[in-house]
Amino acid sequence: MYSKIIRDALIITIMKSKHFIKNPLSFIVIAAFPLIFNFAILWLSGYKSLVNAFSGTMILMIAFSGLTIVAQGINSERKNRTLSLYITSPIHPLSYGLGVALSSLLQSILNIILTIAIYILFTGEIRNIVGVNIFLLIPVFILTWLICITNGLLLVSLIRNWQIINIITSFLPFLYMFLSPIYYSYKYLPYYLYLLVYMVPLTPCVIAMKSILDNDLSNIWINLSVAIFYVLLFLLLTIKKVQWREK
Amino acid sequence: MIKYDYLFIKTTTVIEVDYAIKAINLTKIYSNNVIGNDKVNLKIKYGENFSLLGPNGAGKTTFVRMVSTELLPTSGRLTVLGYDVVKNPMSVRKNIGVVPQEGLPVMDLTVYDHIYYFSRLRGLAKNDAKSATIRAIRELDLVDVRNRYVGGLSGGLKKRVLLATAIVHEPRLLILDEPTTGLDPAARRKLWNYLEKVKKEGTTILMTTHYVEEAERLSDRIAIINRGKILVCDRPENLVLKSKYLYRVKIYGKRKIDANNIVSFIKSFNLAFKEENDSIIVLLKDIDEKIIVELIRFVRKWGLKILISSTPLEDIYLEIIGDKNVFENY
Repeated sequence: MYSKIIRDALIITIMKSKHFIKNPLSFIVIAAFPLIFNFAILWLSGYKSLVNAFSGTMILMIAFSGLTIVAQGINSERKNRTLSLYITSPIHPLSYGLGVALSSLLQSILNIILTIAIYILFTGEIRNIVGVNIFLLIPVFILTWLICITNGLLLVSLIRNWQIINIITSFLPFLYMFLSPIYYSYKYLPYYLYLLVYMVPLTPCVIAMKSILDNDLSNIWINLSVAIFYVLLFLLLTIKKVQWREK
Repeated sequence: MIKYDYLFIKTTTVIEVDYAIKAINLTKIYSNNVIGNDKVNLKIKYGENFSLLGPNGAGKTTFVRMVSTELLPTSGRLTVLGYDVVKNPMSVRKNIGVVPQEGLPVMDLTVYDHIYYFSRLRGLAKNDAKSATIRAIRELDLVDVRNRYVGGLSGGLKKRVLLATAIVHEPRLLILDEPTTGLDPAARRKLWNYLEKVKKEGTTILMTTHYVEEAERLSDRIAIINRGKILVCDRPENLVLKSKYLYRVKIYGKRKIDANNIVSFIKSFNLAFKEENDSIIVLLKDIDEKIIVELIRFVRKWGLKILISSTPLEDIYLEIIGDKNVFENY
């Protein structure tokens, strides 16, 4: 049974990935915003905010593609009743969710490779940073992706109105961008604001990534644990709320 | 049916094999308290081409969506190909092909990829899927557009892609929700011919439509549904007999009809009638020689023509669903 779930998920991943092979522009558009925004910060700070810009770009790349592809993709398939074709096929809902999620990961990886390549072109420092902590960055990327896709899946499970989902998923990455401590240090926040910021699901990933880039691994495991907690929470809520067959 | 799973534990699956679709007191009430289907009882035989005919919002799509396991019933029982749709939806899905109403295909795939990938999702192995895809493309006359993206196709071609996707795995039950809505007459005829061919191969077809002509031509049996209830279910030729008026007499002619004169004449016989453009339709419960002779005399006197025919199914359909316009002057 599990092999069928994975087989079907991979078929759906290929189906969904053909979207950005056909429309490379959509892939570039999703990548462009975080890239341009963070390069502006990098340039304005005279290359001093390298860590902020790099972590910001990475996190936002995954957040934008994860939330957009998962939530808006499923939403538009539900609106066009294309989802009926999947529901009436003998596939497990998990295959569909996983297939959509993996296609967003594929796109995120392409975006990340693009970002790293550009950074390496601009600065020599990046090679040292990534070289030292590359193996710790990978779980952070994966957790960030998992938070975003489970968050997207939860949204489409909770909300049936396609217009509301479109508005929320367009707005949410910006909210995450400014509320999670990408462009400022959480260490200087008053306690109540620190709590508020920590309630943003991307915050533990951002802090973990900055810690890795700063070579300060003292609190990384706490943040990774909190990120795992968010993933499990979103996943459990999604399983509870999802309606593959309409009731 | 008794079978053994991989641990050799005896398991029992109850499969009701007498009907392809069996609905008993099937009811669907939506969360906003709208009744989609109200105690629907239907039995559709294997190999039958069955049509659900009804106006917009009658409950046709609700029924079809429950049969295709997309929508859960509120109460009652529904078995499809012997499997309970609530308890065993996967077994149902393996054996059905569905063309949803107003459903769009995946726009960013080519025609070939669309049919191929869905055949893989329906369990076909790579090579089987390839040959089945090529066969479906040929059968639905999609060879010229096989490498084009679905998003760039016309509405009729998109419908054909959906149909090819539905039949690629040779389902035992084909479910078509208003398959010809939005198609031009030529495309509609092509689709009808194809469905007739599929039926000859033994596939059970459940179709919804609001075109009476389509239901009459393609169906072994028709169920007329309105406000969630099945009003009548029978063979098309038997449905005609269910009308209050079996015959219609059309009075027409080049000379302008003096409506008042005719109406007073018809009323003297206490007959139902309706006015249509340049003609008057008189509705008869049966062939009454006396009335026919009088009508012929009357039209000759006024230099008009008369045409006697059996009541078309469309009128009977409107009569059954309670459309008051059918006999507005009665």
